[in-house]
Amino acid sequence: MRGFVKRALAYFHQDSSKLIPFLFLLALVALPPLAMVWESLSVFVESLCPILVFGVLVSGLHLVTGTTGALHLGVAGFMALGAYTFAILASPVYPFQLSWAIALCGSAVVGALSGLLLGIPTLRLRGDYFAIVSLGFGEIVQDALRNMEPLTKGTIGINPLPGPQFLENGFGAPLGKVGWFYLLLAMVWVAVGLIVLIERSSLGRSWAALRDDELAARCMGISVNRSKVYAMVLGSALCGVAGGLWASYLGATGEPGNYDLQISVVVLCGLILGGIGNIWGSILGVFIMVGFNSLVLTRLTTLLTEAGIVSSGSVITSPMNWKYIIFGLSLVVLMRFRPDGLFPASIRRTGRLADKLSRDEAVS
Amino acid sequence: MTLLDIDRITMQFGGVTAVDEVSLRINQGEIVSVIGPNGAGKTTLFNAVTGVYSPTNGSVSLNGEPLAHRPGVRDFWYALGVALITGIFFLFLFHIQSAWDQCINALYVYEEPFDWLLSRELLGQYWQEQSWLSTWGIGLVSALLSGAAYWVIRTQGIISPERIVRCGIARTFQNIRLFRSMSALEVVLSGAQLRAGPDHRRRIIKESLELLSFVGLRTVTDRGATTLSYGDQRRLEIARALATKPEILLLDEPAAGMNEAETERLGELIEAIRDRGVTVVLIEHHMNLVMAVSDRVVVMQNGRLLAEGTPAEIQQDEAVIAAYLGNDLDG
Repeated sequence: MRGFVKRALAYFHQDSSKLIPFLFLLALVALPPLAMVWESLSVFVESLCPILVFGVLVSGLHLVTGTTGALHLGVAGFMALGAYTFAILASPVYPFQLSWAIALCGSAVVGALSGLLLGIPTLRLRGDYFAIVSLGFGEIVQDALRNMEPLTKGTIGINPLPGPQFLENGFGAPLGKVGWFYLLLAMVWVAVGLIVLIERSSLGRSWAALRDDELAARCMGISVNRSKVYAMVLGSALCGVAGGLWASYLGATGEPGNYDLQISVVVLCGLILGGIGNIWGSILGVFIMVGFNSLVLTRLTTLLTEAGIVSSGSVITSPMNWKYIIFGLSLVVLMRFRPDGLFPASIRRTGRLADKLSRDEAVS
Repeated sequence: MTLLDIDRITMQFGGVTAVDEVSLRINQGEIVSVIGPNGAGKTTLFNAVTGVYSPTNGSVSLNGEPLAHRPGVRDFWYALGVALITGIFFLFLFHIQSAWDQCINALYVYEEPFDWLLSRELLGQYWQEQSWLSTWGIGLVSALLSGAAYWVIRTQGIISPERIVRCGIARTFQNIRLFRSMSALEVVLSGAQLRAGPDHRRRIIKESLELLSFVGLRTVTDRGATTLSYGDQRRLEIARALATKPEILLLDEPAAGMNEAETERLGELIEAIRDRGVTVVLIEHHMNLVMAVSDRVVVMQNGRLLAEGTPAEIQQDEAVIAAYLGNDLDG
């Protein structure tokens, strides 16, 4: 335990771009108890749940865009596949009716397989070309789901969907918002922990090398194909899980058109806002991006309406309608003054083992 | 003993022949310099040898083994796997919708128990009702096509940098190509991880630290690779290449941008590399360095070999002097 704490301290040491988002994620654990004390906070517990799903989604995107540098515009497609897989496996309208956890694993597997299918043909594509293909993939998935009516119920979507059984208390009623909040937060922590572990391994080093200089990486024996396919498969699996969580949280898949480009773009903006290549920053970036939309602006609108400053019917003065202006403006300002994002990735260091080995060497 | 055998290698880009039937033999434990005016094809030769370009003609072999990938049993299994996956995928794509409709939707009543055995029977029935072409035909055709395509691509004798560095030829670059998001130690580790399984973390870190001391960068292990001074970055590239445990190291203008003192230290480093048992081939313009360290010097001009010999012989060679200084200076 002490070794773990020491390693964690070394990991975050003097690295504010990891530490600040870490502390934020840690602080979220304390939110529901605090909400019991201060009633006004309880609205956040509920409205943060969808944003936590986006946190899982951005960690999937991070594995593709953040690690290998390929611009990925199709995460919503993988999310949709995950959501529908979960729905087909778990919903009572189909005969499978698997348990929540197994259906979620199914989402991950289908996400990974479709990541493989998209990853292999696009290995040689760079930059914009990959962006176009992944964008097309996202659109194809929507159309395919809409038209495979026997499987997906077309535009109706699949419902009802079960929540996790272990979140239900003895009477079979769902535990409610606090339970969901902790479950989704735990999923975000698991996703981030997984990514941190992978990035510390030699696979993560291969990804960093490929992103920095593909030719030099290849000349050092790093297999481009293998690394990229791994990134794509793992990232898509996480996106699939995010989709399954999303559907389960909402209790329905909704219309296939819900999984559209806007989701991909919002998540990508969050990733860039937080800092490409830094998973901690990316998570916080998505919180800022989506939270601003669904928390800050909604609150602002209600406050202003209650104060009588704006009327709720007015199109122009309602803050909800400023969101794209504020989005665009803040992105432009950000790119001008902090092109690496709010929490730019720090350089890769080897960590404590290297320090220890090098000290041993100095002694002997 | 011949270590690297470059046999009549030709490299053409469109109509331009950058390297024209160059043959070169490098012996074990030698330091060989390749010199020549700019545009003579030295770097292109390096690129062709290390798999960055696939040579138009000719072959390279290391220890008598040709470097080009030759098809093996593994490629066959991979092709079979690709064929199988594609075949199943296309069958799935064609039939999932109607099969689902007949076997699941036709049978299942909301929240009633489901008869899996009957559904399997229905699936069998469905399968037999379909025409031969739309079941086995589609599967076979798509599997054959994809498997054949994979096989053709894999067995073309591809020369890839990944494969060649695995065989034991490492290189550095003319314009420094370090990984800018990594510390110096991580850069060396990215080379060292080639020769280690995933659980050899401790060993490759030790080796990399040792290599950093070897090139004299031990004090800056944690600094960002691209924040180092120019000469240090060049030495870091050498350390990264050495970390892949090569038998032969190709250095592309390692002394470019170095001052006299640094160049001299580089010469000592190159000799130390040779003493570790690594054969060195270098492209260089600093004649002092070339003449001091080389066992043999190879002169290239216009993509061809002009002369070959010991440093002393090359200094006397009429053709070389003409190439470097021009004929008209004599007269």
